Amino acid sequence: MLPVGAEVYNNTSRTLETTGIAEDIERSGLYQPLRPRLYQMDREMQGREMRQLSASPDWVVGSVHALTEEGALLIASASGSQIGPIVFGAGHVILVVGAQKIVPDFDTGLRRIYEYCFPLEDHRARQAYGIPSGVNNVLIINKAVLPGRITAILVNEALGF
Amino acid sequence: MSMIDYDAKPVTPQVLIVGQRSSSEGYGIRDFLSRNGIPYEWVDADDAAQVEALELGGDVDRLPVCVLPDGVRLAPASLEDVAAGLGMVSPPSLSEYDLAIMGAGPAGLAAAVYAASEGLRAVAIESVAPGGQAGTTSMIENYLGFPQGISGGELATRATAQARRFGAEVLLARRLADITRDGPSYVAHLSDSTAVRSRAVLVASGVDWRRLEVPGIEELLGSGVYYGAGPSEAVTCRGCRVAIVGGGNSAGQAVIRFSRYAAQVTLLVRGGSLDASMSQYLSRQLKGLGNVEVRTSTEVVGLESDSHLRALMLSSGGAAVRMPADALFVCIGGVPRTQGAARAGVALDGAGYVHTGTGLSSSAWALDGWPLSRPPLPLETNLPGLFAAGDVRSGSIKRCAAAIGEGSMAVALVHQRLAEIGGE
Ligand SMILES: Cc1cc2nc3c(=O)[nH]c(=O)nc-3n(C[C@H](O)[C@H](O)[C@H](O)COP(=O)(O)OP(=O)(O)OC[C@H]3O[C@@H](n4cnc5c(N)ncnc54)[C@H](O)[C@@H]3O)c2cc1C
Repeated sequence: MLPVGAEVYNNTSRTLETTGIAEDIERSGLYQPLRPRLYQMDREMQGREMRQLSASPDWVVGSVHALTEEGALLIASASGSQIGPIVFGAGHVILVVGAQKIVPDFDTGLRRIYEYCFPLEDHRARQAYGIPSGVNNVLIINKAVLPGRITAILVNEALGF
Repeated sequence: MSMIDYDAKPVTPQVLIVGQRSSSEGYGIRDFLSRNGIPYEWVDADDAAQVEALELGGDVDRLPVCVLPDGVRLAPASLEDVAAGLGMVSPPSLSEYDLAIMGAGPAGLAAAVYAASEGLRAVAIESVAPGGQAGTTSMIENYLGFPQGISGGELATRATAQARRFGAEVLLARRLADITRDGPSYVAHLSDSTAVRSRAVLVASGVDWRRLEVPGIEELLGSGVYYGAGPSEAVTCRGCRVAIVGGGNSAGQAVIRFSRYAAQVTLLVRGGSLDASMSQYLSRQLKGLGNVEVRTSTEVVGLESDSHLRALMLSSGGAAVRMPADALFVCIGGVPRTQGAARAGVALDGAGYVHTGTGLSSSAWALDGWPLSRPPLPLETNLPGLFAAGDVRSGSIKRCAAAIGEGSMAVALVHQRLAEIGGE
């Protein structure tokens, strides 16, 4: 789906890591991955440039925390950095969703975020960065106005959290 | 999906380097990786617990050790082996090119973009990382079209992607060692014995840092003394006392970068003021920084160290002063890098820069043996079809925009030369 040479931001996501998608984006040489580029930048001097780059990638590839049976996608974020590009900044969005994330309705989706995803994510953030996570921002996607901008790929396996 | 993406660190495995912080080989590898945007993890060889956990066996005695993402371990690791192990070293894909460009700084990258976009078969050869000197600067504020400034690394990444999109090849981690002639064509011999044949050559190898003449400085390279002010060292200077030598814009930019991390930054300037050597916008910014001190009429005359730099001995207005320092960054201008081209007989000016165009006639002998009835083209050297652009060229203006302008201009002249030798 990703065109060769595309500028791609892959969100940190267990789903993308276990499926090998992250590695393919960052290392295959087929795309222009943004993560290595951002990682190289000087946070103190180039904060603005970093925000601009990560806010509007041509393609963003990520996942969600819940998908309701009515078709709403729920994504929680502590910093909000992943949400902006998914809402509007990115030209194209691909979300890879393990089947275990399907929930009957919105309320169950929110509960999934608070009671299941958050504790696991908080543990990961403390280990990886030494800081806590938080359900500080929640995005609900009910409908995409631009046809074809967002593609959700449902995988019939349990992937990520 | 994670709810926080704190450091934008690539998620796939990184290069792991184990070494002494003070090792210059280790520094070379770190600098190479960070300038090429390859994330790495650095493990200090003195951190016994971490080193033990890595189970390096006998390799702990062969530092620096590099573990590549595919698990391959190099000990002791050389920059060339790391580059090859990471798949960054590819052979040239063609047996002949229209234009071979030596150096992928702003001048070389501009030439690659224009040449490839105009249908020439172009290859750029780069010994370290695309971007050259510009690639090491944290912020270029005077390059047209970027009102907020652009970091050199970002400019280099974009330019390299642009050159590759048009079909130019960029061969990394190899140095031009020599150029020989083959009829009207040239053969560039690279440090790994690769030969690259081309109908025209552009030397865009820029300048290297001028060395500071202080006793003992060579032994401290990478151990507290650095040339330039590359991004890989800024973060490690958090809370340190940093000294920067130089009075030009590169020194000014280094001061601004380090002032964000270091406890105290001292700029040591040989001249009596910064007015003549530094752009006003930079010297004004320096004055507003609380942890920055500028010492004029000051020279570094000695270094005090154990295994690492500890203090500088300064001569300030005739008086000897000792100044404690954890790191010294030397940004005192450049010396042209012409080794490979000089061997081919390219005429150089008194300071070692490459003579081109009308500049050639200022030298009594430079045009001896010039074989053509026409005079050399503007950026052409005394060897027909061999051009020079950017900082390496005699009389060049040492600016990004000037180097980029010359690189693009060279391509128009290459077209003329190719038409002359036929086949275009
Ligand atoms: C710290 C700093 C800050 C600066 N700030 C600004 C600024 O704000 N604005 C501005 O306009 N200019 C600035 N400059 C100047 C600007 O960066 C240079 O004028 C410009 O980079 C020159 O480009 P170039 O391509 O001619 O050479 P370089 O940038 O020197 O590039 C030459 C390239 O050739 C490679 N090379 C050398 N020898 C060989 C060989 N034998 N084989 C293969 N490759 C080789 C080198 O590795 C290098 O990548 C700054 C320079 C520095 C150092």
